Amino acid sequence: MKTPENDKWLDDALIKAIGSEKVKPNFTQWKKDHPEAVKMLTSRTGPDEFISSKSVPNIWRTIMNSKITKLAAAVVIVIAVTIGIIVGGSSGSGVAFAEVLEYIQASGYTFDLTVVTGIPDSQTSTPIAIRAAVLEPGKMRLDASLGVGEISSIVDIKKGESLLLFHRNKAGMLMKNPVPNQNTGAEGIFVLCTKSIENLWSLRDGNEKNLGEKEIEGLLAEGFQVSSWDQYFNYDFVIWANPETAEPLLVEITATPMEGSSESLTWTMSNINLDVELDESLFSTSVPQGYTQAWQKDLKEIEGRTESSTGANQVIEVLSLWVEGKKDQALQALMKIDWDEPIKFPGDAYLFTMTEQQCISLKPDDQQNVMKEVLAASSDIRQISREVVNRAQQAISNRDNAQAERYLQSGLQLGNLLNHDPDAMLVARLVGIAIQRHVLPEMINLYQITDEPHKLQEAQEQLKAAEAEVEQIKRNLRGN
Amino acid sequence: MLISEIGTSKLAQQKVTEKPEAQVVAAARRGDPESFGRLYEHYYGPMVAVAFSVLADRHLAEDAAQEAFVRACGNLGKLKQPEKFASWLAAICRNVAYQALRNRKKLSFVEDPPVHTTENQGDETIEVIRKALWQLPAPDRQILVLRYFNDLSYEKIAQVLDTTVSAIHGRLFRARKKIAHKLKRMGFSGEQS
Repeated sequence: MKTPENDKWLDDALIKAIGSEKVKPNFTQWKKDHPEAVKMLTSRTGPDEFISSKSVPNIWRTIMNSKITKLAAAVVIVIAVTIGIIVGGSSGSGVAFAEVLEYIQASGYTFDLTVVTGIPDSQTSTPIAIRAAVLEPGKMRLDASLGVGEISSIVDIKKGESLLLFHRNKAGMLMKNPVPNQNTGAEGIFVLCTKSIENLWSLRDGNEKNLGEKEIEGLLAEGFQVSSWDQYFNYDFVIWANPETAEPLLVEITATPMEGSSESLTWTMSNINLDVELDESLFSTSVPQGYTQAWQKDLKEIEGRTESSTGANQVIEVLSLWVEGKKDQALQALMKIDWDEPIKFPGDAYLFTMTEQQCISLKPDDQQNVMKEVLAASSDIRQISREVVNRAQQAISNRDNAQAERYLQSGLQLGNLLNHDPDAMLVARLVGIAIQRHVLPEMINLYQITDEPHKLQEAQEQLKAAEAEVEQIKRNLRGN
Repeated sequence: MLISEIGTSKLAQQKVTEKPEAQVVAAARRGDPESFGRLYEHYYGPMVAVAFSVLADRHLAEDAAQEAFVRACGNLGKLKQPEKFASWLAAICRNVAYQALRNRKKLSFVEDPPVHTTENQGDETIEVIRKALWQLPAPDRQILVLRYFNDLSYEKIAQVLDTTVSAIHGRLFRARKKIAHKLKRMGFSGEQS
């Protein structure tokens, strides 16, 4: 019977439709036609070394221990995978890839991305939930809420750019044409991952394996597994797609270091929503208006003015004397400062002048230098404030309340100096608040002794404000 | 049996598909043209089939297969698992074929099936079957082409697709069912032939 159900008929028909001419390999002719290939082949001499395992970069540990860097790694590796899928698919590295590609290339899509580390009993094994969107192959945006607030990561592979946005700090970190360098901290992670993308882009050795069918979220899915590697990692991709439509349903990606560690990162792409309309502006790698471009500026660019007021010079002198171990002289100098006059510091007095945004905008080395100086200076100021409170307590016990008040007022002014600008570096503000919270209770005690209700109330209110400010900062840091 | 003892006879060529293939691949990696030649002889046919499943053009498929071997020469050092040479080569071949297809700007199989350049052109029944074949998902199309293009053995297909013979049986069964179903939906009763 000549029907498609008839096996014999179908066999014959398929042979005719596909064609059954015998293929005749002729290696001799091929060698003649491709002398350059033969040359390439025969130039391969020496021991048969399979892929050289390079030691895993130290930054793998950094990736594993940092949610931010995991996000950064996630965005680039997922892009890599997407590109791997796309390149592989369009050029045929895998049949499922090709089918998936036809959908993925057609329009933007979104999906949920879950990142999990493979370290048992590790705090870092807590999954990170990320919302992801792909505008077109190579252009992706990931959004996540982490310890430092909302973060977005945008990668444009074609432009060779990646932008990390810290929304709470209104800062953007742009990487352009990164070159491999493993020793530059977080930057190195971007570079490593970008390098991985390049390796995957030129992927030629995908070997898909059919995993059969299973049900995913109530839908029948056909699975394919593909492995690839670059110089650092082995990648394992498992793609589950609708067998009828080839629409991707679930993608699991595992990256394991080549050597030295069994820790792995796993990304799961689920809830893949095809054919969504996406706003192109969300995929721009330009730092948005109102955001500071991080890691770009030289310190010289933002130092600004060089002149300083008398009061500022006196504060600087106090610090110098303190560092030299001349504590009495330092405190005497502190007591002489006229706090009613405006105090203007020179630009290089970073603890007093630099804003958080300015600090973020600095190049990493400059940022590190500034932080080193700020931490050292703030440590000195805290010591001075403690000494001031000690001396005030001594004065109170000596019933010299006027002297006690002078000490405490000077200490409080130091705190106010650091915590007068909401845009100031967070570390400076926190030190300022700490000083206020250390000095004010002693002031309250003093004004209770001296029975000065107005001053008492003022000190109580200022302490309350300092406590409230601390809570606000904590809430901000938690992202509430 | 040592690889050096493997000749070019059919039996020897079959042996190349068994365990010693890794040794042939290893020898080729060391730059031995004779070993590479054995791999060429053994896998040329399957690679043409792989490329044909993409290009639907016998001559282009042969070109793609030859180019795949050229690329394999340059990338043999990157092959991690020598026992997976066949599937690795097939992946290269698919890449080459898709690239060729893009060059022809004929990406959509469904709406614009490629023109076949085999015998039987002009036969209405065959054209209907070809159309149905190229409307199948790529994995189904590929396995049918691999099976019928050059009468490849299930073992060889399994090697090329890096799976088991029983999986090939299952996939082929499903692919045949799909094309039969599609032909019926297209109103094909067989009476046309």
